[in-house]
Amino acid sequence: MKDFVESFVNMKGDSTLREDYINIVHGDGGKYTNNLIKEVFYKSYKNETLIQGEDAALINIENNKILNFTTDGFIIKPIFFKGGDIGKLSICGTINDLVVSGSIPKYISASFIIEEGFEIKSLIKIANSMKEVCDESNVQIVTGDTKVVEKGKIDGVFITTSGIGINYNFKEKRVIDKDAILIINTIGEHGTTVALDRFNIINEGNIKSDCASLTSLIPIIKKYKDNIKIMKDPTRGGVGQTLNEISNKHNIGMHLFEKYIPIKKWVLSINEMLGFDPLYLANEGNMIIICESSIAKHLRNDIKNQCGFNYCSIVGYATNKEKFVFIENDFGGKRILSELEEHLIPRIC
Amino acid sequence: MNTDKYLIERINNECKGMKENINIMEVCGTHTDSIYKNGIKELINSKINLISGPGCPTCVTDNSYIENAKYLLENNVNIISFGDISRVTSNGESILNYKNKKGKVYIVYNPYDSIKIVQNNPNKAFVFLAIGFETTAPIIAYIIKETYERNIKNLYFLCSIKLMPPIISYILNSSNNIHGIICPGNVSVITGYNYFNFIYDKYKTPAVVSGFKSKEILLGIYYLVKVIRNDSSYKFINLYDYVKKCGNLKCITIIKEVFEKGKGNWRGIGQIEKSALNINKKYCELDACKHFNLNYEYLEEKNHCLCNSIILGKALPYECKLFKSICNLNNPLGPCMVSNEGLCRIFCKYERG
Repeated sequence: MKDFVESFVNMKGDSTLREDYINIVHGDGGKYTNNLIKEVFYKSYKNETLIQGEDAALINIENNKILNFTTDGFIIKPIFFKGGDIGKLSICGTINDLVVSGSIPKYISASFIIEEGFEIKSLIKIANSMKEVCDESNVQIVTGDTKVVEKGKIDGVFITTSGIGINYNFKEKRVIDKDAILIINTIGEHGTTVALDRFNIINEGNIKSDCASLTSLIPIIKKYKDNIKIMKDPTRGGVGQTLNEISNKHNIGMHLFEKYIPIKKWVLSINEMLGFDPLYLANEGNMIIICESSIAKHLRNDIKNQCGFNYCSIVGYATNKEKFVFIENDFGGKRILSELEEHLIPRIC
Repeated sequence: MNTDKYLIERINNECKGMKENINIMEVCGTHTDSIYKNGIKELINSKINLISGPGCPTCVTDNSYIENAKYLLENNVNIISFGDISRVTSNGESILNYKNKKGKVYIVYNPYDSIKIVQNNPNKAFVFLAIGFETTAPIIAYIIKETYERNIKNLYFLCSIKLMPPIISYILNSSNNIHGIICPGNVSVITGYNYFNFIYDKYKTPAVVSGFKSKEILLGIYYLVKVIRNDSSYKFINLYDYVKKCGNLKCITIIKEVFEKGKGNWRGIGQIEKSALNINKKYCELDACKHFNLNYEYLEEKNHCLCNSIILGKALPYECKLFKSICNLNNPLGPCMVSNEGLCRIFCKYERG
């Protein structure tokens, strides 16, 4: 096992760090983030658990009892957005990592780094958001930390949350030819909401982030846990990047169908204007599930009927015919969905 | 049956037994993006070649423009710019990452934001990088006029607004291998569709004005194939619903009020007469070129970047030595890799390559 670990960390990614400095793209959750993690962090603290690279680490306690353990940092701007705030996001993010890694979220730690001059009123609002999600999800914040830095040294407030969940023996399994790919909710809403705010584009209507806890799915996941191969929450980099990561790990292609991708009209039209592809925009209340094709329809129906995710859809299937992820439109035109390589920018004309 | 499928079938029926190639050029980056995004090339008869032309304003901007912007930054002038052009490199450095800059670079999505920015910083000088084609001209004209009328003294404009007909003429003059042209519907909305009928009148090349959805492009291709195969008498036709014959009068008026036609620098070509819109006499005090005494001589690209040929439809991204190696989505060297409508970037996004 030690040899495997050594050989893994010595593998060079195909986009080796060309510079000596961190570039903003290193934080986009795509190819460059992954390479940074391999080349800096894995090289330093290599161990079998870490290099699995999962959303949560599976820690064997004793007598086959497993705890899932995860951590996440939140630096979102703007701090308050339609549909939530950094506090709600920090709790949902960690809870959802625990859910997709097959555990029941229980305990969370919350560490705050706050800029001098930040309004306490806002901090209270953030704390209340966090409590609201915890109560809904039956989770407790049991420990935390608070630090203050001088004005101008960070942007408002940053939050890091870590979480522990009780594993119920879900095991990630090999994705094979014809396995079904499900997306449980409409895509791109969080990314679009933030983009609109970032570019100062005034909008009216029902535009908001999908930020939400996914604990309501746990009973269904448990029911189908032996037929579910893998679950992921498509946050940074969206559905496109997440599916590429699965495709690379399992060495299998994916064939998606545009007409089955659940997406709201406002997301489509705003992104047509901004020049972004919603398949690569962040989701904060969504899940990709890959499962055996035999139970796909039952799983989809249960998620729709029992958890209220009315847009849950089977969007495609894994395929041996190609090794990449591609999407087909409703007249047979196909295009490749490659790994996210870049910082998204708007078009001009 | 769905419209796209139907049109593909009609196109392919029309091509049955065809022995020669048909070369159709589309001259708008949005068309290029839509064609690749929808995987149209693989669905139509392989003898139809869809060639991308110079329809991306970032892609056709030459190095002198970038160097002028960098010169301004060196001299403590602030730049306000759209995202794309600020990332194009000239002599290895882009405006955004220029190491010798003393001025700041502000990226805007909405050009009207420039007015807010300069009003918040009344003691600093700003230049807005006004690049685009006919579709961007009206809003730039509007902002120039407003700057003038509100007596705003710290905002200037470095204009590089290009016109489609001169570059289309250049291509048709230098090549007899283009059998049909797809013209951009959004330009015609401003100018009226007769803006493009010179393509048949002067060059005897059939042309269509079409929209950007897959079915609109396919309809355009269908018409062109029919004409080229001698199965139709329509040599020039407008297929875009939103175009009026007279165009948008408000836009045309304001363009005429602020701009006049002048020399334009085109990457890979040089200067073409009357191919760009320059600020006219009335508003010339807002012209950054005049105010800062900038040199507007065309500057050749010196590295191995093949954008020059790619934008004229003479080469494909794969043929460029730098493609996907040194020049990639995250470290773009040439404008065709920077811009959302550049062919190199489109190839990276949608093709296996």
